[in-house]
Amino acid sequence: MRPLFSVLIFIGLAPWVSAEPIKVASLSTVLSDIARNVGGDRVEVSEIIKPGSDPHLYEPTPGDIKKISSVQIVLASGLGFEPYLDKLRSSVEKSGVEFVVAGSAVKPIACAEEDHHDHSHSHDAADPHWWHSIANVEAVTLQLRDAFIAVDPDGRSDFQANAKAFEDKLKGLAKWTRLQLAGLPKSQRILVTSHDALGYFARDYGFQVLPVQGISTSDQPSSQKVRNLIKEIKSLGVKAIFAENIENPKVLQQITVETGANLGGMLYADGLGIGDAGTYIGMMRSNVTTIVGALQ
Amino acid sequence: MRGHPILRLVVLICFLAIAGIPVYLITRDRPVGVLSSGELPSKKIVSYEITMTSSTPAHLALAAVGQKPVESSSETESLIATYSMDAVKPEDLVVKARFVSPQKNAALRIQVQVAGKMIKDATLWGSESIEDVISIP
Repeated sequence: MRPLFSVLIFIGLAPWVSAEPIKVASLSTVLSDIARNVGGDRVEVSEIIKPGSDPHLYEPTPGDIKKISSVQIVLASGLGFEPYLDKLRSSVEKSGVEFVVAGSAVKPIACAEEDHHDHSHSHDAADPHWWHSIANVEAVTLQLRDAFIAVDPDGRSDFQANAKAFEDKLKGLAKWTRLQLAGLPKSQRILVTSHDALGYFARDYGFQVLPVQGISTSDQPSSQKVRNLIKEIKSLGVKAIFAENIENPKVLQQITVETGANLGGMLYADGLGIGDAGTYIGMMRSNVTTIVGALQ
Repeated sequence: MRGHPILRLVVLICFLAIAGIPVYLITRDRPVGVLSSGELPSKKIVSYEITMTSSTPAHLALAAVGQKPVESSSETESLIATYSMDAVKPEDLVVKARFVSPQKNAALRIQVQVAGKMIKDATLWGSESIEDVISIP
């Protein structure tokens, strides 16, 4: 009787025994943050790409591939942001890892025409910097919610509640952004940046982007392009140009000397930073504050 | 190559000139859509009639960059203002409503017309107050 009683107690207590968290590897600092917000305690995120590193120049190491082989889900941006993605998929195919690619959940925009001629690596025609649109991040939040539920159905209510809470924060961020930018005249909404990463932000808030480099940080601008850019900055009366947290601002400093524009501050273009900019919401707030402060 | 040296020189110069054409085409300054400071496009200014309608009495306010803010002096259910702005890039409108009696779902409707034609019609929802931005297409 006692053994039967013990078995019945164990079965009764089973739901309260915490399940193993879903093991996730992330190729994007933004996706890491979304995953933590949606997954909570039910997800364990390993960051393959860390804040402050340049994801355009990253190549997976054997150690990274081993780590990725041991997880259940890999998060990637797609849209050509990770040129090694197909190779990585084949390397870990046998381990049964599922790839969740944000690019399939968002509404992509095309790269600027000149970016196709000014790069040294292949990429799709879409702009891969999807996270600069809050609407895209909302869509990816739901995508991750569904991916986690598929792996851990018992966590459905947690994932749904977490995703809803994060969506509410994103809606608050979107409203705050609109109110901040409302004070910036449309004629001043010109972003001169290191590379062409803010296309989605420009689309959502009526900005024109004038990048020094193309869609990737490895793209090198020709001297003709820099000359044309300087002329355009002068004629449009651009007040400030922006460096990025990853890039060396030397070229931009040269442009400020020739145009008289100020160096407006640092923008987070290819992912999260550290400190306050170590979360998606913190990163966007930092960017908006920097842009409004420099151009108003 | 055999022949008169001057003829050879002329042929060589012609050959170099032909070879130089693609180099010139690649390296020349391409015209960029840049306007010189004296050639700014003339702005087309139009009058935007903005009507704010609240579902319940509220203090209403409207603002836009470069425009005089408009505010209701007392609680009201509607506010009408006219802003003259650039037709190509009209500025965003910041709208505010502070409801006299907070409700669960109070509404604020914003309609924008140009020459009697509706170009924007949006409704915002709130309980105690609403503050948001309306972009004009």
